[in-house]
Amino acid sequence: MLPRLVGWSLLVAAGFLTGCASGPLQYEQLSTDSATTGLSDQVLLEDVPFFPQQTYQCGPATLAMLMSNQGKAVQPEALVDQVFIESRQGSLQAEMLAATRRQGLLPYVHDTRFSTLLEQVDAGHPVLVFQNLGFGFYPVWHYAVVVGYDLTEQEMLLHSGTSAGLGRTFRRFELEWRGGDYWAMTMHRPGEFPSNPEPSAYLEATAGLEQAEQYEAAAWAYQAATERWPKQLIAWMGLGNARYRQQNFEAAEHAYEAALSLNPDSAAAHHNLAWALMRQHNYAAAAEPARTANQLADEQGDRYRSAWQAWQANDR
Amino acid sequence: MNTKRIPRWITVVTMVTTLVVGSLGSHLAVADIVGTETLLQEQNGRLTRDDLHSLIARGDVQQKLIDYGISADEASDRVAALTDTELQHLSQHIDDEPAGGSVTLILLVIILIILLR
Repeated sequence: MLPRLVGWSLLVAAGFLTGCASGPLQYEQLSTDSATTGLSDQVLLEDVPFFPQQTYQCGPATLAMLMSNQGKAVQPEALVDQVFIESRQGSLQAEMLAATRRQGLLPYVHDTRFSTLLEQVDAGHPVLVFQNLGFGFYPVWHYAVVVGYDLTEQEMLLHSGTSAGLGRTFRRFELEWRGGDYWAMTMHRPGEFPSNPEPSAYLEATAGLEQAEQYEAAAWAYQAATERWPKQLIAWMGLGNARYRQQNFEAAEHAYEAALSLNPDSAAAHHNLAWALMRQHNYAAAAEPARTANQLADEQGDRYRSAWQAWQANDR
Repeated sequence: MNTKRIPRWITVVTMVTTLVVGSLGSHLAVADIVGTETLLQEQNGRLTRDDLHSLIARGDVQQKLIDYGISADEASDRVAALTDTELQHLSQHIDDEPAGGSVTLILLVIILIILLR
């Protein structure tokens, strides 16, 4: 009798900690959310491959599903060394993004809206989600892939753990997903976009590829960004930077010039343009942008002085 | 005095130089273009780091991964694919970050089943 009572108390307490802790759930408001009006009622992404997870290794398994879906022949075992931490019995979110970059793919982290998740699945993008399958006081962190949903039945379909196409009610799914702070990412070939991308989030993701020295992938993604958002200065700067890192200084020069035409007072555009010209040994043309960057550096930061310093050093 | 013996301080200096230049050299700030991540941080008004801080954060996270049992080579490859923002965050919070792995759930379910029986 006593253990039974303890058990029920634990369950009720857990319910309070996870279910009732922070207000209403988003799925309850879906019918009034204008973002869901254009969505299909039922979606199942049948082509998303499934890899059953080995002990604790839902990170590598879910990554492999999304990568394979993007045409990369990657097995979960090959990703263990890239994301798994044995002593933590799991994988960190930042390393999930890093492993995606190492495949030359773009990891896009979404906002925390339930409707955004449905929208991505509807557009054909499987979504990797972070969940707490346990309780607030006893978390069990987990990665799963959303591969479908049913608005009428209020059901989510997931590749999760050792189950393919596992059905979960919206309510239960959202409780577990909320436990993981509504973290969600999709994966894209460079040049392709999630549904309704935010320029800043997309450019940040692309800058991540640049940081990871995936310059060709970064250049493709920046190029696509300049076509989609031609007024975004950072997209042009990024395209220039990726080409510069590939030693394609002439292409870099053109991208920086496009950035300059958008904002003639950008120290960054003058500065990097001067470097691209100096790398082509065109010191005559580099003088003006280098000097201008140095003047603008008074306002915009000392990091824009180096081109002028290099120019002067060469002149001596 | 043994003249063949290399003074200890030379060994130490050589080792440190090799380590720093060898493992972190590619990330050291040489005069060059300003990268896109810096431009984005500048635009969002959250540029708090400089190149030296990034370098230190990178070393911290790499060491932490090695402490977790990751081989030195793999730890180096893993930090190379992280952004400066991620490195800054992890260098402060890596021990508190949730790591997705699950399975422990089975244990919890078993306990509940036993108690509820």
